[in-house]
Amino acid sequence: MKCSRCGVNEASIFIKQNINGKESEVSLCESCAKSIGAGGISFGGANILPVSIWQGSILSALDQISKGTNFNTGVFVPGKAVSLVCKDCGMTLAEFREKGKLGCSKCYDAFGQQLDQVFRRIQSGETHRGRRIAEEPESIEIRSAQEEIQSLKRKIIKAVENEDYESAAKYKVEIERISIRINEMRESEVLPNDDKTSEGGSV
Amino acid sequence: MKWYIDKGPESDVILSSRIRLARNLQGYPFPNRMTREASAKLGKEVLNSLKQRTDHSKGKFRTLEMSELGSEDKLALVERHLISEELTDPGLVRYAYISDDESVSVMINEEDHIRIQAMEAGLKLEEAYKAASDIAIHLEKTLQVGYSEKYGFTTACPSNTGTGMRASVIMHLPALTMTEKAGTVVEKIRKMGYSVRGYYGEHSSVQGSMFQISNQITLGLGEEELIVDLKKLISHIAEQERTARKQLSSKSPDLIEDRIFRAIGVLKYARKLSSEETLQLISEVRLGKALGIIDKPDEVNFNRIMSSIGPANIQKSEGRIMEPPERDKARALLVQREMEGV
Ligand SMILES: [Zn+2]
Ligand SMILES: [Zn+2]
Repeated sequence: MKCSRCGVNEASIFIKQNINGKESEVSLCESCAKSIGAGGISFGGANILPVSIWQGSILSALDQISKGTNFNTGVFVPGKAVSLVCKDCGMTLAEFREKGKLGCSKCYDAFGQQLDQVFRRIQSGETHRGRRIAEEPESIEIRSAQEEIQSLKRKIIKAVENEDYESAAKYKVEIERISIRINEMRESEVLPNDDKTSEGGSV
Repeated sequence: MKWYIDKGPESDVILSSRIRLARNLQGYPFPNRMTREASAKLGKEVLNSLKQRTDHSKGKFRTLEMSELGSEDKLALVERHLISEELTDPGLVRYAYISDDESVSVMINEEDHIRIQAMEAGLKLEEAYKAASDIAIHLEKTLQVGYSEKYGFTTACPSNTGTGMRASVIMHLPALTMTEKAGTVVEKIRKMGYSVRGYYGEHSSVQGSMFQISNQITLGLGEEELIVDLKKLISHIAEQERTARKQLSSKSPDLIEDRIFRAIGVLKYARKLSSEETLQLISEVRLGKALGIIDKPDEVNFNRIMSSIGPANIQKSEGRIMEPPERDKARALLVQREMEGV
């Protein structure tokens, strides 16, 4: 099979990718894979990046965009130069490419598509999974307890598939126990705050 | 009491923990595209909100306008990790808002509009995260903070987007350094997507076997996960260091003792000390303390020395500008006082 980027060399690297839920495979030759940095990146899902990709990665990622390489596919799209500009701050895509820094919060809307490609290379995906704005943080214990419940739920599904109803029942009891613990942790977290406000009131 | 006059958990290997959160306001360009007028207006807005906080657990805060400080004062803040070098750049109106115990500082108009930073002695990332996020949540509730449903908190550099969080820990790894294993360890840490720097941060080289390790990923994982992952990595390295220490002291106890007592001798009696040499000697004495070879000085003394031996801090405590040879003399005196009774 020929490399889908250069179309010349024999492909030796095959990358599974997932674009908008559609799964497909890209075949690249070694030199093309190297030049787009595919070697160290897992496309989609959690990824740990080798340092070589990290260094100057934003600029090089942007450089690739400017050359028209779509990382998502690793396929070279010639002549697809984009000229975008942020309406709020006037930052152009060319400027962003040059500096590697954005101009304002609205740039995230203007350059979303390009940013997604940058994030896929330098971050662990392109979607925020942390605390949302103005939301109180859950304690780490509560978070890990919730994760435990998720994994028990998966275990139940497996157990039922295997008609192992005894184990499934055990997991259910375990989930109930953890849920109670989470509620207790939440309550004990709220209490000290209440104390504070009542203290403040009496002063 | 300053935060670093405390030793904190796992102080045999871990000096301090730090959380930094980046936030920006909507309706203003980021500092790299901002006018001076806009930076002054934004500064007022953020300070107003900060001063409305009713949580006084970190004591009083002082507000510093950067252009009003002398260059030595600014550098002294940089050396004590309270502000970054970037905050001292002229051009924009920039502020630092610093708690009495110096454990919390907020930088206004740095690379991002707002950078909140909380520090703790020893391994206490959760506590530092709580202190920093308390302030972040207050700002998010009172100001128009830049946030996207998809990307999370917006930042000037895509390397901070999402949580806007960098968690870092300063580790003391003398045994791994002496046995020349530190290089391999650092290489591994970097491959796992973490950054490794020296004690003085961003552009500094590693001195005195002190390594600053922090997360690089800010998007796609939650704050808690990032902290848990970093802690796992840190405890793994700490165990390696402890093992290396045990091996060193059982294989060549005389050599280790000799090094430690020599270091004490120099720290106590030298008449001139550069900051680099001091850091190196402190590293060795600290190792002696952790191995139980000596029982004084306390970790607290090390922390206090380390926070005061930078060139700018020496000049600040002497109240005047000094040439390097003079500083080395003043530094030796300061160290001598801390080493009294050892
Ligand atoms: Zn090719
Ligand atoms: Zn913009």
